[in-house]
Amino acid sequence: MNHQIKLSEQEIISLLLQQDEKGFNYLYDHYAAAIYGIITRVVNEKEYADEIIQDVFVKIWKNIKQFDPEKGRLYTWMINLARNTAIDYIRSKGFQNEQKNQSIPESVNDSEQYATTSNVDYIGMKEVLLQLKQEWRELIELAYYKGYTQQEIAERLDIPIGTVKTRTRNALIELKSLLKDYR
Amino acid sequence: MDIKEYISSGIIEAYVMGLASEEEIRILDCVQKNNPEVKQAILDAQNTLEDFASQQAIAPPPALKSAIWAKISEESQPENLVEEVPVKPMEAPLYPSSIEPNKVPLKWFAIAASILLVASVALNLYLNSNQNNFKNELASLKAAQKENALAYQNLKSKWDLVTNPTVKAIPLLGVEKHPDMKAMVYFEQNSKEVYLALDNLPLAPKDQQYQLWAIVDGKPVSLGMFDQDAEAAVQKMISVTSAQAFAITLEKRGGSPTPTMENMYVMGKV
Repeated sequence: MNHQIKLSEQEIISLLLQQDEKGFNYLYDHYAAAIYGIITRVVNEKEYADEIIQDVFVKIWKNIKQFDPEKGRLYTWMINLARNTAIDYIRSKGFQNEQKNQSIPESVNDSEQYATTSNVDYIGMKEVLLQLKQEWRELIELAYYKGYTQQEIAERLDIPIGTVKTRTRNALIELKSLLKDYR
Repeated sequence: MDIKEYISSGIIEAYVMGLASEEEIRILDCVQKNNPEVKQAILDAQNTLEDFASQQAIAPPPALKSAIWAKISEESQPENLVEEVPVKPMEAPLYPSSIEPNKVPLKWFAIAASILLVASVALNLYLNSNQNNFKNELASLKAAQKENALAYQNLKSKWDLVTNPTVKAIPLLGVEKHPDMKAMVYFEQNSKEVYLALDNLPLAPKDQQYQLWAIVDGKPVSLGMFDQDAEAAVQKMISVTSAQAFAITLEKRGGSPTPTMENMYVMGKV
């Protein structure tokens, strides 16, 4: 695979629509790590992440016809697909039973430890999340990685729903400025 | 609520984070269609999450790639098979085999016949309009398919050139007056063939064309015109044995014997 080639999203899409293996190779080489990163943070276990990423790529491959460029970029579409698949997975009965049997406490209960208690080691990774103020970090964890609704977050954090919105906005603004330094 | 207030309410961030309720999503979808400012704000917020995902990337175990491709190949197979629909035997004959004559007065036949006629006309009209719908749908599908096939062809020829080790890719960049413009020359070093792709040049006016020049020993040699009417994004030009640079000028349709220097758009050294 030639890493020097940079394809536009439209070009990637046309490769995928033609079911061309090059399309898969390009997609995987350029996006698998980002997708794996999201899934791993949702499920917190490498073993599950390895399983889910397979589903995600199969879904991308099969559902690319439904992707509508009018509604946003391909990358965003894939991120949401990965996130939703992983969140559906942790909400499934089988997964939750397994968690109970292993008597692992629900990781979201302890907001202090979000980014640090997972079973995955993020060696060599700068944890941008750890640089966020705690109230923003826990919001991103709950909303983005655990798929909580506004209502659920409001109840859990004991804050009004309006505050959830403003906090989400502030968290993303802060995240954006932090990410500038990583580019 | 004015639009600035709406944007800063946090609804956009809630939306991109997957927090918005269904009703909020419906409203936002509607607003963004009519308001470029809101649409841009959504794209910006999504961009932050894309950067976030890139920054948070974790390399998956190397063995997964081939495992996933195997799974994809396996799962996309059965889709190609067309499921056979069993033909159901007719349960009852369409027409009753014996009509008991003379029992029903003729008048009722006439009424029944006219009702049948009206129903049949209505059915015809309905089927006809349905068929038109299908025709239109088919036409637009065909057009989309053609567009896709074309984009794919263009991409494939570009790809083949870029991945061919004997092909040298020479970027032609905008001159001072046109800093953003860009074209690519692909030079096949064995056959000396020259291919041109216009990456970012404005559409030429109808009576003009872009002309490619090779600079050979300091002198411009015409390599022909880029045919903007053709659909191919990568076009074969006149071959040249060696060149120190390539340049593109805008000339009258059909080309000029010498380049019009003030209409030079891009150039690149070999």
